Amino acid sequence: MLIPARTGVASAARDDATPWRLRIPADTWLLAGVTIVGAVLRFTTLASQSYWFDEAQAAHELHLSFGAMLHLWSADEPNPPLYFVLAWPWAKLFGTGAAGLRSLSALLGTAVIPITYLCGRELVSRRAGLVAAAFAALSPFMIWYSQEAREYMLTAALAGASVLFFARTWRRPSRRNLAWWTVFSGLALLTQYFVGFLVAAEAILLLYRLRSRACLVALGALAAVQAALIPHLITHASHPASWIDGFPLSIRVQQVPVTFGLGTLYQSSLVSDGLLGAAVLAGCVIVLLVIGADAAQLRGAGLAALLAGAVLLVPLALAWLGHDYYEARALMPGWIPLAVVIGAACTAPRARAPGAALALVLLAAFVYAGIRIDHSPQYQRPDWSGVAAALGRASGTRAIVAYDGVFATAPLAIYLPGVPWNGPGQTPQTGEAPLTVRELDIVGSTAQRLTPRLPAGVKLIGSRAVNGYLVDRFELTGAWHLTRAQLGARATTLLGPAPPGPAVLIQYPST
Amino acid sequence: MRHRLLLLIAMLGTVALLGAKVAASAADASLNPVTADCNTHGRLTRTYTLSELQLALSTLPADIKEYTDCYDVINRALLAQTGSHSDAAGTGGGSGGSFLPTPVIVILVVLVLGAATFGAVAIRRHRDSDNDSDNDSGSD
Repeated sequence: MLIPARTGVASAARDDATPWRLRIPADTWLLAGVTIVGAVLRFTTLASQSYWFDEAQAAHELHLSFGAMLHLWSADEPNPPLYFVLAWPWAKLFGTGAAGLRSLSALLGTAVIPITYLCGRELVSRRAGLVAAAFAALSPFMIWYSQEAREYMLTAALAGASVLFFARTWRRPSRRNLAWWTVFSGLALLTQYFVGFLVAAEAILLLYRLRSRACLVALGALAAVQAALIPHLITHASHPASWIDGFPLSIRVQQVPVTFGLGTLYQSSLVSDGLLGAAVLAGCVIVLLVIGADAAQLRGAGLAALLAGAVLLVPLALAWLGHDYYEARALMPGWIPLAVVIGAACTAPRARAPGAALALVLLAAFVYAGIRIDHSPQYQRPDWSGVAAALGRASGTRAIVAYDGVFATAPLAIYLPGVPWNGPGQTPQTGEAPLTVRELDIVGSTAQRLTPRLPAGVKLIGSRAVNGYLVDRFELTGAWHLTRAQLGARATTLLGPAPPGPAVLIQYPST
Repeated sequence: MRHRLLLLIAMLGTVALLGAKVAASAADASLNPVTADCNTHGRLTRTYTLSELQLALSTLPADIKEYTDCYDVINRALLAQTGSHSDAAGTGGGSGGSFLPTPVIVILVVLVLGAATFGAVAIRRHRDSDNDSDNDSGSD
């Protein structure tokens, strides 16, 4: 039976009579709901955890003048400068406190939710976009980095925009789409180096698809951006590797699926099942896509899989060849394409029920991980502000020996007034000149024990456990005149056994 | 069909590559032996005494705590030893016991049941619609 088409005037009159709420597509409502949930999860607990080492370094750099900040960036930061350039005025407006500085990441992390939806919609379908957006909203990994005062969410947002305009250019080649892809890809390249793997894959695919002069011009522009970063890249090529080398590649590879799915639960024994879980998930995704998706959706999911694969696997191949920078958080540019692939599998038209079940299981796993992280200080950032509160005010010059070594110095310098900055870019407090102190405080762990007999002239004046840390304060009857190394060695005789390389901070009475 | 097959092969290749064993790099010689074992293998490959585990936990460097699951692995091994009073030698591998707490198992069971119900309802609706269309064509 033929349904008569609505005539213009009658349909316009009817549209006017329809409430505006009903004229907005259901997808938009759902996306708005998902985005609001994501925003609430990101903003409400923004300052509940302390700054950790990397954030403390950023907070220090961002409170300096613009020139001094750029100087420190070029000396110490392993990534390109865009985050710092954008965060500097943000810090001037909102401050370098945890809530103020992290709010930029939270805002970008919230924007990533609709960006993920748009990527999914463009590559696969509206439903796939919605499911991928729900993953982005609830993912503990994305929430964590939306609350981190570093470049990760700017990377995710710009890499997502690059994927979006890549997909648009792929489907509807136009100079406008290509120009936007070039702009967002260039900005993403200026934010994080691993974006290069994503943009390179997009560039190869677009070159294959378009074979136009405009495409060559776009690639030339992006090559110029990347070339401009080469001096910084070369300078810092060995910088991040120094700590990465301490952890076997096999462990870091196992951590990737757990980190992408369950955030900091990579610090739990779940990590040993990471690859198995990834294999099962990949198997489910493949079966669902092959059985349930139509040809166009399969092509879109395939494109997204290629992009995710370029980010996840090319650096792995480079690591095998000896250029090892492989770690989960650096692979952030691959997260959105991966979410789109899984979203496509979960919404494949001919496998709706098992697809929906898979989406539910994944979302439930995200919620479980979020709750577990929220209730376990072990999986949160170290509680340096709590440690600083336990240390209290300095009445005179005191030595603080932190067994977490360099991991403790930058955050404690942020949270303790009167402690000179001792993080990267500053002269380390390792001088051999003896110091005179009347108080020695030790920041150890609850796994360590106080010596049963304190030496003469040493009196315990306070002991507090703070989320896994043990803060013991000692009054020295006769002042100690020792070097930092000697102070560190003395501390280990009071509370131990201690790990090697304690940091010794000197706190001067603040006004 | 050929494209799907190619895509399937490419995806399976990716999975295989992800699942493949990646060569482990050398462990840091300055680490405590228990910590070095965990950091190299991602688990404890041999049995350690209670005091060895306690020493490892109290001297665990901050970077190992931050970037690996060794705190959890060693802590579990320690709890397993202190929990089993007589079998001090038999619980050295730190991965014993279920890693899923009871509430999570309950949630997963509920979700699986929900998914099964959802699937069953979907199949039933599908069959019902097939029957309806058969009846419609039969009555024509």
